[in-house]
Amino acid sequence: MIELLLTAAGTSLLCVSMPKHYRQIVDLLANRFGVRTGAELTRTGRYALRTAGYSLLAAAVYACVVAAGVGVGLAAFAAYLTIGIFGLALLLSLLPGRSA
Amino acid sequence: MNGGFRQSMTWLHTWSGLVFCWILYFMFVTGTLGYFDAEIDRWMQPERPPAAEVPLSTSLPVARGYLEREAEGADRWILAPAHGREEPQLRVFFQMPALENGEAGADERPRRGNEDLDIGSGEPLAEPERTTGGGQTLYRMHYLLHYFPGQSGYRLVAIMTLLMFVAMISGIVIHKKIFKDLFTFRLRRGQRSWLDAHNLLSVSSLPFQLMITYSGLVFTVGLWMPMIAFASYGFDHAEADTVLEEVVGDIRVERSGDAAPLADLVAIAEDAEREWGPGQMRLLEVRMPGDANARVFATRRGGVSALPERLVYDGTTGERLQSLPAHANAPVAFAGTLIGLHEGHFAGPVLRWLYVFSGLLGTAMVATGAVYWTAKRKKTTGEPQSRGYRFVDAVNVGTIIGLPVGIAGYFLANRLLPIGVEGRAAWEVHCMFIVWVLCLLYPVVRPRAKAWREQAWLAAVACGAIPVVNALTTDAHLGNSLASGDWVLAGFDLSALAAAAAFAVLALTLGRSTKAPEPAPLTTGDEVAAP
Repeated sequence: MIELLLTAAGTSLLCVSMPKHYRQIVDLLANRFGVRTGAELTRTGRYALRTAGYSLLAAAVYACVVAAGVGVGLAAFAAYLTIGIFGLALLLSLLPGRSA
Repeated sequence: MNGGFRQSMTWLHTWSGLVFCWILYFMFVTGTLGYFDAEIDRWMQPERPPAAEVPLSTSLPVARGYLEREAEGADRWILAPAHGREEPQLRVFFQMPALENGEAGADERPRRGNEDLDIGSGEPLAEPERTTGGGQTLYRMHYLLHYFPGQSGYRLVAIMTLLMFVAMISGIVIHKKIFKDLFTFRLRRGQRSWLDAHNLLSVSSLPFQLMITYSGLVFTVGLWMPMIAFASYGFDHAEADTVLEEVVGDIRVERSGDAAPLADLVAIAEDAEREWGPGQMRLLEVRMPGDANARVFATRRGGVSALPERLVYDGTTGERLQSLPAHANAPVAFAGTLIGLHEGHFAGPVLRWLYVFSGLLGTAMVATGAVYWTAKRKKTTGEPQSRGYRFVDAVNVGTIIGLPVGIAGYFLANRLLPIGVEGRAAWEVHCMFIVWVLCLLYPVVRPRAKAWREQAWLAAVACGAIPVVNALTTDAHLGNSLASGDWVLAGFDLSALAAAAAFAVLALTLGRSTKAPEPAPLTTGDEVAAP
């Protein structure tokens, strides 16, 4: 389960590091919850999010390999990655401002 | 095919994907179901529960006793104790020596046999009256198709696999914004939504799809490159077969002609388990049993590779002679790992479900690609649709929805065909294909939009009927299986209900989309990876 959570968190950060998805999240937070954040994603912010995302994915690979060995672990990671990306894309498609 | 490299790849992607997409869809559906072949077997023969796992000291003497009675003088015995989903029963296999010319009739025993044994009586288990093709038939359709004579189905599947690989590589090349659009899926945008769905399904499951397609090619490597073996071993097929022995590091056992009693197989199995750990010995293979040169091969369970580690014993003394590693060399390691990954025998319940999920994404990837082809070419100005468009659209309806209806028909036939009817297993399959053909004909006589919606409802009803008919015809229904914690039987019925719900949602969505105004078509600049 920890492997899936790490993968989902990693893909989420990579997703938010993309300006158009960052804008979706910012709009959602502002419209739905009244939370105001920095409107634009700065270059530093983008790199920080990307680095954190890739680090979490690397941690997920490590966790998968430790849990199930190299072969099975990598196969499991590929499947978790699929779930992470696919689930996130479906979630984003349902957010307001999805036509971005 | 004129234009730049990317345009050429777009053309290649479109036509390599489209021309045989329905066969690819069939392979994806049956292959995905194949990951649950043992569970489907169990549901289709609920009268035969799995055997309880018994110690090797009990099961191996039973298997040996049967083989000594029925297969004395064989070239090969295999003794596989019951263990988990892969070996639900104690199973034995034997292969007798090939008959020379003129010997035919001298020995009328069967030349080979494969039996599940009853641990109590030591005799083959009685075949349940509910004869069925089970999950194995669906699984075999994945790589042999059906109704194809000889090896032609396998050859066609090999060609399909190659085309799939071509479509995948060309698809990656033409996808300009493969990372930028990784999380992009725009709903209710007409053909743009179909393209987004196709891209999302393809890219999110790309590691799995690449692995499954490339490993599928590795399966058929002998078919694609037979000259490599022929160049070294000549055109004699028997000689060419030795390539396998040499490549995988096997050893050939010759009969000496001197009789000698077989060693204690239980002691050999226990030695193997001491080496690998309890429960790690999968099966024993005895070559030339009863001969002074007999050898016993203990095969290890588990691991990703399809080529497991083995220990070799002297068949008369029981002395361990050598260890055959899983990977004799790098190419064998590469092929064995890929084939193992493709088959997924190593996968536990969670990973098996992940395989099924990825397989379903692959199925949807092929389906959305086929639908996008028609969505892109649909004329919205009132002009008549082209003949090619109408053909592809009709076959899309009849296959994308019709095949699942046919498979539901296969499961329903298992419960509804009279018990004991001759050719029952074959008729289950006939029912599946009859239903599929009817679904293919249906869109010919109905307006296409209505055909999509009505067949989606039909699929929902057919899948929903599976647990209902199961409850009416057997005791293996949800009420009993849930109460007894039998998650194989309960999981099958619950999966059928989930499929019914998914098709119902699809039908409702299709009903809404046919009432909504048609979105504007994509302009050239909108294209991302448009085939």
